[in-house]
Amino acid sequence: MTLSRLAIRNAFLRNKTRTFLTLLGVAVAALAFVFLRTVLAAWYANSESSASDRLVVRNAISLTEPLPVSYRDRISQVPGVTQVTFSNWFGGIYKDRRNFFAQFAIDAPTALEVFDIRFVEGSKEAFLADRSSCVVGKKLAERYGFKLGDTIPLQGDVYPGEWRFKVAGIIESDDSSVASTLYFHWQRLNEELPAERKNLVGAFTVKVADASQSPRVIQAIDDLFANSDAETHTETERSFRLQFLTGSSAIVAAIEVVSAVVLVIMALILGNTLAMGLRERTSEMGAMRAIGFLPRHVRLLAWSEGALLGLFGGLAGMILARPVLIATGKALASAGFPVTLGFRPATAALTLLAATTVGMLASAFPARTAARLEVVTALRRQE
Amino acid sequence: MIRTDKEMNVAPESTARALQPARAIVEARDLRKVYKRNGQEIVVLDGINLDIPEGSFEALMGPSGSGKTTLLNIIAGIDEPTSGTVKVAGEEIHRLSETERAAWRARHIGYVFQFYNLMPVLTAAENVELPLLLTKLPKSERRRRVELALKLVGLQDQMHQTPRTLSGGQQQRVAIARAIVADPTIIVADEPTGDLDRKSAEEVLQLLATLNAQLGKTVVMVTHDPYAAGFAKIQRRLEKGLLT
Repeated sequence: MTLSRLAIRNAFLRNKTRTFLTLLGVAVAALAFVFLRTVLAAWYANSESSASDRLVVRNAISLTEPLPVSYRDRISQVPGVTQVTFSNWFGGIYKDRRNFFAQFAIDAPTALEVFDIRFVEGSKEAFLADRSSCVVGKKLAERYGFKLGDTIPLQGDVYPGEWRFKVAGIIESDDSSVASTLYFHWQRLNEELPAERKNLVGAFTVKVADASQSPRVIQAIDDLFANSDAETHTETERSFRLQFLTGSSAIVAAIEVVSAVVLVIMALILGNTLAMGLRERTSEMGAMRAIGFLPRHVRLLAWSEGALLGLFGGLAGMILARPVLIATGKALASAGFPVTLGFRPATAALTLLAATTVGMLASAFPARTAARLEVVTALRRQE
Repeated sequence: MIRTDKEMNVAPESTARALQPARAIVEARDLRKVYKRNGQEIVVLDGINLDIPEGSFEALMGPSGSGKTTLLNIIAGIDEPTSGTVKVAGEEIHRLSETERAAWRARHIGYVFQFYNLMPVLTAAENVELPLLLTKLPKSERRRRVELALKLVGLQDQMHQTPRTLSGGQQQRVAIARAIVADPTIIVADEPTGDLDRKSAEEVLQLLATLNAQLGKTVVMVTHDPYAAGFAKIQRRLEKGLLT
C-alpha cells in the first residue's frame, strides 16, 4: 500500500458512476480542445513551414500588382542573395469551383531548387523538358487521383482560357504547402498572354546565404527599387504567409478563446467532482489526520486525484480524437477546404499536459479546504 | 483471539511496565476548553484535573455535551485546551506545533472511532497498514505487523475483504487493528460500540479489555453506555465540564 495507490483508488473506485461521467466530461472537453488546437495548428502550418532563409519580394502597392520579371537580375546582384525565383498565382478552376487548390506558374529550374522540391514519381528532367507539363503535390495527387501522364484541365480565371497541363511529376518538400499545390511553367503562361500582361510576375522568392543577414538584404532590395514605377516590399517568407491569416484573425482569435474556455469548463467539471468527493469523505480525512497524517498528505492526495482524472479523461479524449480528426480532415479535404486536418502527436501531448494541469489546479481549492479543516471539525461532520 | 507479547514482538516492555508501580501516562492540570458560538462562550471543560495510570482501562462517561469527547480529543492530541496543561506519554502536547503533534499522535495514539472511518476503497489489510505508511518500516515488516494485528482481532481470514463486505462489528475490529498496528502508547476510543448491536459491541469491548490486560495497553474510552463502561477498570463521570 502506498499513498499513490490510495489516490488511484479514490479517483477511480470510490464512486464508479460519478468517475465515469467525470471522465466522459473531461474526454469530451479534451476532444473539443484538441480539435480546436488542431484547426489552429493547421491554420498556422503553412507559415510555420516557411524557410528562414527565404524572402519574398512583391509590389509595394499590393500583392495583386505585378513586378517586372527583369527585376530578377538586379535582385540577384544584391550581396547575400544566392538564388532568385518567381511565380504567378494562377487561380484556375479544376472542373468545379468547389475543387479548390493552389496553382502557380513558376520559373521551374530555379523554383525546384529554391523550394527544395523532391520528386516522388516522375523526374525533374521530364518536367523541365516539357513546357506544357506540370508537377502536383503528393496530397493533391492522392486527393484527385492524378497520375503521371494525366492531363489536368484548368479553367483560367485570373488568366482566362482553357489550360491543359500534363503531369510530369508527383512532388513533396519540407514546405508543407507544396504537397497541396500544382506548379507549371511560367514561360508557358507568359507566351500565351497579351503583350500588356507579358513579362510580369506576382512575386520573387529570394534565397539568402545567411538568414541572420535578412534585415540587411530586405533593406537593400527595397532601396534598389525605391522611387521606381514599381516599388517593392520585401519581407521574410513567414511574414509574407502570415498576412494571409490576418484576414482570418478574428476567427483565429475566437478559436483561441473558445479553446481556453474549454479548459475552464474542464476545470469546473473536475473541480466540482473533486469538491463533492472530498466533502463526502471529510470524516475519513479527519481520521487520517487523527492517525498522524499531515495537511500536506491530504493536499497531495487531492492533487493526485485531480491530476489522475484529468490525465485519464484527456487520454480518453485522445482515443476519441484520432478517428474524429481523421474523418473530419477527409470530409474537409473532399469539400475542397484548403486546411489539412490530422491527428498531431504534439497537439495530443499538449492536450494531455493541459488536462493533467487543469486537473491539479481544479483540485487546488477543495484540497486546500480539506487540508485546512481541523481534525475535530472533520470528525464531527459525520455525526 | 489475542496472542502473546512475544508474538506481537512489540509489547514485552508493556508487560514489564504493567508489573511496576503504575505511573501516570496522562496528567491533565486545570484543563479548560471554551468554545465561542454566536458571540457566546460555551465552557465545555471547566478545570479538569486528571491522572490516568499507565496500563489502565478507563471509561469516561457522561451525558451528551458533558465534554467527554473533547477531553478524549485533547488527550489524543487532536484538540487543544483553551488553558491548562496536559502531559501525555511524557510530552506536554499542548506546547507542540501541529506538525509535531501529528508526528506525536502517529507514535503514541491509536484512535478508535464510533463510525470506524475505514477507507472503503482499501481492503482490511490496507486499512490497517495506513498508519505504518508514516513510518520507515520496510514493506515486509509492515505486512508482518498488519497480519499480526488482524490476527489479534480475529480477522486474519478477512484481510483481503473491503469494509463494505464486513459487518459493523468486524469493521470496528479492523479499526482496532489499525489503532494497534503501530504499537501506540495509548488507545483512545470514542463511543466504539455506539454503532454496534449488543453482540458485536461485546466482542469489541472484550477485545479492548484483552488488549489492556494481555498487552498492557492503556485504554481510554468514551461511552454513555453503562454496560460498555463496565468493561473498564476505572469509570469517571463528567457533568457540565467537570469530573464528578
